[in-house]
Amino acid sequence: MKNNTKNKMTINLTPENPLSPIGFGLLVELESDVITKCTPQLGFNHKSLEKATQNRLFSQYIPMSEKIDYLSGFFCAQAYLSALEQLSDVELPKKAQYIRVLTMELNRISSHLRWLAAYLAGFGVLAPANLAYKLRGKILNIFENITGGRMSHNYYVFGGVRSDISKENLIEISNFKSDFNKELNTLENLISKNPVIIDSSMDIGVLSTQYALEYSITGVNLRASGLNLDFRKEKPYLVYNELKFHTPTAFEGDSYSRYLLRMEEMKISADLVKQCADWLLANQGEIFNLNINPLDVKPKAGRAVSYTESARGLIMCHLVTDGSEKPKRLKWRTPSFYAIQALEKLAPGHVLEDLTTVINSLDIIISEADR
Amino acid sequence: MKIESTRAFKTLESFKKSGFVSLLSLVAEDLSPNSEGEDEFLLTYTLYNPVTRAFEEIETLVNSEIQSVTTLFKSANYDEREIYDLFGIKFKNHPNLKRLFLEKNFEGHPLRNDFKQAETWSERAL
Repeated sequence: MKNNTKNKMTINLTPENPLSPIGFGLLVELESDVITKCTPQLGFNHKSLEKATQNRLFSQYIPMSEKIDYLSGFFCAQAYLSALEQLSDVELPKKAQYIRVLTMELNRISSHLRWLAAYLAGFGVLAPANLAYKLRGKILNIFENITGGRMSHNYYVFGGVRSDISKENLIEISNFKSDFNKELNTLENLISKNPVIIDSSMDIGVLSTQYALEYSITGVNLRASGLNLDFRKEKPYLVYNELKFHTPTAFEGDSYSRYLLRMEEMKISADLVKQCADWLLANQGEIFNLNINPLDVKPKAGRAVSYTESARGLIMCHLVTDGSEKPKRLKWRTPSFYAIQALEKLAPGHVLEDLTTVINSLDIIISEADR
Repeated sequence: MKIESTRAFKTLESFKKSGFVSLLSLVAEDLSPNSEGEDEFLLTYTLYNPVTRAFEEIETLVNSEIQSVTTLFKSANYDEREIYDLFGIKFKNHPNLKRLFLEKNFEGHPLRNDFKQAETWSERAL
């Protein structure tokens, strides 16, 4: 911390700061109490996951791709495999597609709940935060039953999924929606009208549609700013065009509307999970493409891009191959990378204590931004 | 759509004026050495138009330098810094062209084809 003049100062909020549960540095310039400039610093969590592809076989990279975003690994695995399957002209069996959508939507809920707990903890509202963690634990139990892992799964394979979901588990998942909605409503009653939360999140971190587009913001953060862009509908993948769902939009663009949209999205995802579970209970089929060997992946030379709507926004996976058994170039386009950049625009004008709210409301995961 | 690198800025500017206001991603790929033995990189700009809901991919071949598009798309700031960091492509008129991920004294650009990975820990500059 250094004092430039009487009222101006520059604070370096490094990742070591216990107040920031985030893994990036922030150089904040203050004038008395108000932020005048905010410069994020990346690189503390860089794992060179793009360089790492060049030394690995296609199938070896699948578990690594989940580490792009450790809270919602299914989306990253789907993004990578989708690009790979495009290049290899491999089609997934219907059942595998439904299982992938089911796990991804459950993942969206668990990721949002983890976000909610962190968001509430930022206000010091800890009782509902614990409830959110408890709810998330139930979903992690389901993941453990299906895949064997709670956080990293390595469940998707080239051309399908690794194992089938048992009937008991499917019935449990099918009944998940009603219990979940009840508990989420309890949670909402505790939060949505809480004066502490309303006062410290309404009109905080307002992002206009124009700036959201200029900063390439996607996902809930963009939809809270008034543009209904959902890549599950924009560029439908898997079986999303067979499922019934809508994407809610808000127009305020502040932290509170981002919170409201995430709560709404969890309910919609729970409904999608039920639709998938019911389909899987009623239909039979293969869980992976029997014509291919998932360990022997050798796509033709070319380029492919996949669009996946993750819990945080658009994940694009650019895959370039040269006909060998290793990727030539793999590029991740991740939503948090752009959300961090928008802090330059969002933070100025707020007091320092509101900065946590702004950062938390954007749902930034640093492993995704740094890669 | 493929264009020359000298015309990239003007083409992107005209695309922005016609409604492609969002730069979804900027990807670089190392193609060097090309047929003349020079360094060559492929840059792919993916644009999105929220009104017509159209996507546009613009590809351009770059040798070592290209005009920055940060004045057109704010999100290009980090994209270009990342590419400078990992590929060493220089962006003219960029407001803050520094390494984004790696440390200041890191030697080389890791995603270039001519980058040699250190074989032992002692070879790495820490």
